[in-house]
Amino acid sequence: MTFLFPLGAAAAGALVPLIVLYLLKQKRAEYRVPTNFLWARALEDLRASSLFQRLRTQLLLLLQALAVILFALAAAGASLELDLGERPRRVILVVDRSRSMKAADEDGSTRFKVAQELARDAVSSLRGGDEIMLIAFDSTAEVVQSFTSDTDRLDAAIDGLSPRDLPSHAADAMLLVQPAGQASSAFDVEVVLLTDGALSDALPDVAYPVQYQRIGKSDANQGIGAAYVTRQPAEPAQLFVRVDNGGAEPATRRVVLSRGADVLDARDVQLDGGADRTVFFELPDPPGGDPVIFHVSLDGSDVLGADDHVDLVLRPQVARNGLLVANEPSIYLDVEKLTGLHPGLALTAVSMADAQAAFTTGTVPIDLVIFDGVAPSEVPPVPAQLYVNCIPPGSNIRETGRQEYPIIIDWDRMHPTTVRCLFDDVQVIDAMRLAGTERSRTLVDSTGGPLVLLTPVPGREVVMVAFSPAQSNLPLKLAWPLFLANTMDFLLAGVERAGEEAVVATGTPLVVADEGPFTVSAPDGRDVLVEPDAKGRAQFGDTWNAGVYEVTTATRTKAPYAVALLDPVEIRLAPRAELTLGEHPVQAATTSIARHMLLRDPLLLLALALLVLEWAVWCGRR
Amino acid sequence: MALLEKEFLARLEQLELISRRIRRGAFRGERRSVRKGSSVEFADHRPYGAGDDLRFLDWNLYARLDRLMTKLFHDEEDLAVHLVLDRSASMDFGSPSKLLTAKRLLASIGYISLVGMNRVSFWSPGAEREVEVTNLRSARSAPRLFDAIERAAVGGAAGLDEPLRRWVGTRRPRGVLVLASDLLHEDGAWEHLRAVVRGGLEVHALRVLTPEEHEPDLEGDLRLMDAELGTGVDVTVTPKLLQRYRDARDDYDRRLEQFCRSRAITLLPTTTDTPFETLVLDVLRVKGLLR
Repeated sequence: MTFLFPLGAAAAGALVPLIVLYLLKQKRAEYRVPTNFLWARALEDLRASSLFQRLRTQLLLLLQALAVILFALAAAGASLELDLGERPRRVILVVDRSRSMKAADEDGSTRFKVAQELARDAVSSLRGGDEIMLIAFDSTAEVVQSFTSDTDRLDAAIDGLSPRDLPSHAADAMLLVQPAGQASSAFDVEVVLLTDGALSDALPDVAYPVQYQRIGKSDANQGIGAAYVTRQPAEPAQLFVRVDNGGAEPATRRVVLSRGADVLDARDVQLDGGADRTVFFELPDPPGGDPVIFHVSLDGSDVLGADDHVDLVLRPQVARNGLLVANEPSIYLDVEKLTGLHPGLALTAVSMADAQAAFTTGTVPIDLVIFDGVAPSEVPPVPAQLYVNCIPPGSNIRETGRQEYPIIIDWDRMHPTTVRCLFDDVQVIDAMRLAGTERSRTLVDSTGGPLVLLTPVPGREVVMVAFSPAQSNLPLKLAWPLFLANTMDFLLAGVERAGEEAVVATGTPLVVADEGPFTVSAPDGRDVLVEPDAKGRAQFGDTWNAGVYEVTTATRTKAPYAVALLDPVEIRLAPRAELTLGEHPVQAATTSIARHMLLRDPLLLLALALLVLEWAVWCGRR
Repeated sequence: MALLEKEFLARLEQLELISRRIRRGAFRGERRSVRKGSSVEFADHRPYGAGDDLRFLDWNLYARLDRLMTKLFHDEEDLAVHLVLDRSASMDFGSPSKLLTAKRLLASIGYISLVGMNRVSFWSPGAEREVEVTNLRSARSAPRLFDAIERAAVGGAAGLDEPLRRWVGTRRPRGVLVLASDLLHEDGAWEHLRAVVRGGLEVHALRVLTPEEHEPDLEGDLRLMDAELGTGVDVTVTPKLLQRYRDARDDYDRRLEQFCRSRAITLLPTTTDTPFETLVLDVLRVKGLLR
């Protein structure tokens, strides 16, 4: 048996006053009797009758003294050592501080507090020569405290940690572990991973024993897994909210949309175990041109409240800029007609050289570009792109030849770009024969392969038409303007310029360019002055917690930015019994983190039991 | 409340105090005396002497034996009855109290004695002063007796032996002594009684206890304070301790009875919860103190 806090044994000093008090004896209730000599004789007889009876009078004192001794042992940190090697240890504590650690399912305490307690236990079990390193991770990993045996510094580092509204990427933390272990050849290295196992990424293997201390008990959690706003010209903005049920049991929650103290709308959603549902709201346009903050929340409670609400900022709709890039004008892609199909769009016909210049300077934000028969060499920095009779750069698609009179055999009637369009009587004279379309979604299919596709390029998805409308009767059909209008709506629906986002992910820096220093009022009440760097860019990166951050610049009044973590992985809170590091499974540990069996709890329980016994004996004698 | 009701006194008049021995009285009375006198009850013969009353010559005996013998008759004298009350603090317990029960018992016996033309004295030693009346005769003296008994309040001496010894030494009482007490003393109550039996008295000890002294109704950790000595004994009352108490009490009672039997003292134990009329009219008669 070892004593982690030998000074705690001083509590045994309580024996002295206990015995003194016992000797002085507590005041008994006085009872007047005619004479007490018969009682005195009875008492003498009783005392003399047996040794046990003599001891019996002091049984209460013995019990109390035993209880005090047990308390003293507990205070002295009496513990049993478990399987400790001869060499000093270096323990790398890897603490998860992602949002799921805010879940309060540990008997009223949060998972993160339990993780802190476990970390403190590890610190308290340090032997001479042992050292601990503290790494905290969420979306990134950080060495909070390098190897040290200074328990005060370690405790301070542990106390300084707090959970943040960020996803958990433990792989980064494990990458920090490897070099730290390699620099510890004179030690036995052990990695202690303090997490609930709700991790977003796969963990790499490490060359050291890993102890996975699983934290968390419940999976009864629902949260907002996604929220996004789409806007169409001259129409109210549309808000889609996805509610995820992270638990195995069905649940019913009410999604409430509010603005300030006013509740605007509410929807009930019934969720099966592990399922998700998306609900839709219409958001009224902000009156007066000022941004409006909307609040979406889930009524009721679960173990994690942080994912039950999200703020959104809706800003006044602004006109979109577009470029029509073609070598020569065409009648089927007329600027005026295209503008009529998407009110609010300022479309300009330019040559490829002018377009490239506009992309490079970036002075005017461009939201949409339509390439007609000519494609750039690189993917332009434009969110919405339509390629007509040309192949998007950066995609896997390549042209293998031409095909004549491909017959349209089917089209996607549900996709927003082709909905309500009829292609059955469209005839195409000549079209590209394409290869590498496996990752693309075919919107219009023909006997010679896809004719219209939704294809991924780095950073986005673009729409491609694999033939020239001039080589078909499509421009004569109603399907053509419908397709163009649908496509522009679809491509521009999710477009938000920097600073226009309704909600940005936690951890995303707030950047205000060319406006000098600005002040950020964070949701936790802090006001932070942000100075621009040498390049004149000022950014605020401390957006680790969800909420509304208000930016005040010298030239602008307050501009709100909503920050939220919309991550279904952080909603699914079921603690995992096993983690996989590389290809090696690691079971949740069943032993104490301290490698000591701390006897505090059993000793305290035993002491309590003795006190109860003492009370029972005392009552029995009354 | 008066010690005894009129109706009860009327019933007491039917009773008589029994004395086991014939004793010499001081005045003429209704009780046979060791002295020879003028009653009608024949006692003995003695040879005729000059001056004897010729009316008492036994002529039948002279005819048979040819000797002059004078007939002797028993004399009838009164009986001295001494009532002694222990009014120490230990008597102030029970409901009714032991003291009240003892007073009523002595009053009853005193009244019976007065009605029987006996000479009654009452004495109760006290810490400050004694209460005493002496030489009461006839029922007309009953109020004085009752008054004296009523005046004997709690506060008597803790130990009876020394006052009793002194009282016996100075008064030299004869006749019957009725002592009412709880007879509880650390050194043994028999030490008190030893003083009176030496005086040649016929002693009746009325021992009055409370039911609680027989079967204590106590529990828990207590400091039992002695009412007379003021000393305390710390006890934790358990069934075993209660059993030990009963054993100690039985042992004390047995020793007391043994002493009384060896000294021809009539021990009449009773408890305060015994109905008083039953006690006087039945128990004392069965025990041979009254008839």
